[in-house]
Amino acid sequence: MEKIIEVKDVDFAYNDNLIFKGINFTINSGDFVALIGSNGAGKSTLIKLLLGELTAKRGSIEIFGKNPKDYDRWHRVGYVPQHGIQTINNFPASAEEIVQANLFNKIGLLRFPKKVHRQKTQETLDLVGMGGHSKDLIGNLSGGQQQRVLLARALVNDPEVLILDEPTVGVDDATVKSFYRLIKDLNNSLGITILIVTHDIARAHEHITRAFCLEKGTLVELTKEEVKMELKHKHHHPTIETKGDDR
Amino acid sequence: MDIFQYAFMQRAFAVGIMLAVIIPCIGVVVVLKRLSMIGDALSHTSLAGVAAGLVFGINPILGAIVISIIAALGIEFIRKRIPKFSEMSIAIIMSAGIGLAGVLSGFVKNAANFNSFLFGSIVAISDFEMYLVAVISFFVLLAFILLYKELFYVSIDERAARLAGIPVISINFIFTILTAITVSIAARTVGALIVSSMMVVPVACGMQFGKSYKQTVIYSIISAVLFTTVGLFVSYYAELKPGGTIVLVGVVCLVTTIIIKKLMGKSIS
Repeated sequence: MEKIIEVKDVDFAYNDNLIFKGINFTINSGDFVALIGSNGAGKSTLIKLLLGELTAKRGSIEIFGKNPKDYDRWHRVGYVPQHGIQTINNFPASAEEIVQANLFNKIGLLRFPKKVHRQKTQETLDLVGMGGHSKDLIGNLSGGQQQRVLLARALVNDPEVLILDEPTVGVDDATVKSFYRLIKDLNNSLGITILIVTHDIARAHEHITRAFCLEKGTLVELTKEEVKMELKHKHHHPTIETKGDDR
Repeated sequence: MDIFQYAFMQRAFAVGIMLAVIIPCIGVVVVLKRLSMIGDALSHTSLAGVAAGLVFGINPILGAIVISIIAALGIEFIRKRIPKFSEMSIAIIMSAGIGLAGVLSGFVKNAANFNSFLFGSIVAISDFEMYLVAVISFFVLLAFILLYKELFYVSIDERAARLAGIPVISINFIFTILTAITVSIAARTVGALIVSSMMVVPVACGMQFGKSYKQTVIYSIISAVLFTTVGLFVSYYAELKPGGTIVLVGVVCLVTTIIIKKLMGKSIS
């Protein structure tokens, strides 16, 4: 089984503020992993480390066997950002323009998209059920539809791994349900490895194969029983399932 | 029409329309990157270049271009050193530019010439300046077309653009230079004090109609060409200052569009 992501003994601190210490985990090809933890636990920081935007204080991080800082084949990684909907909501762009933008490495610097790129964009929008909305202004779509456009953008390069940072924040319950079914389908039928940061363990648990919990500076992998315990805990503390944060 | 009998009006229309094509191209990226203040800072700082040009006998537009590029790079330099208060960099450079412009303007012998850059003097453009605008407009437009998809992606999401392989730092650098050049040559027509509104108003209009980024860019250019043409006609026949008239025509059109859209939206619902 191919190792997609490997994190060994990683410490990270913002200035002197230690966020986490001695983090270890591996994500293998075909995994569907949920990363959970309360606000400010460092989930998004961990994603930034995986994407090479931050540098670990200690330890090593590898994505497809390479340090993210030196990695240059990011088209193998699909990324759906936190607050993505808020970013694109007021932007005057159509769904197909947003998706096609991510084909940059196939189109090339200073070059123009060709028919093959437009076809790929349409196929990807079809895949996420947004084929009929390709010409629509992004701001005129619902939150759930916008989220699918962002997913299509992440999928347009046929990535091997999808990293989703709190993708369902601010989206209604029925939409969240169908969004999870869609990414589970991508995981099953296309074999795409999934890493999803979420507060919504209740929605995610029926689809995931593994769950990591980042809390109080340490990361642990939860067993199925522990996930069930976590679900009960959430049931009694529903207020924890709130909005995402920037950390 | 007698308006076109005069060579200065022919030049005014030629230069006005060329600028109306390139200013919204830069403006759309400036607005979408939420950098509207940079246009303001660069246009005000360009006055220092105008004053330096007039004092040292260099063409003021060339002086403005050089100073604007230095200012744009200065903003980036300071921004990287104080990332938590990056907007301070714009204020620092703007203050320094206005201060320098103020000091240098004291040495300018012909004050009317300097004042013409504050509110623009599109009708006083020389042949050399018209050719300069033509050459610069050509290169700015070419750069915008070639970097169209890169600028689009960097505007919408820098992180995703970097992951897609776009050289974000280089694209931002080139765009900063293009902005500085465009602002400097536009200072001559609409004036340094109102050039940033000329960047923003046509784009705001384009955004009212555009159903995509491409349409927004096209409608912004059409709006800017319309405002410039109508503004020049109105200023000629009503004997008003052209730079201010062009911007006011734009603002009136924008407000009217917003009101009509709102009323139509109400009647539909």
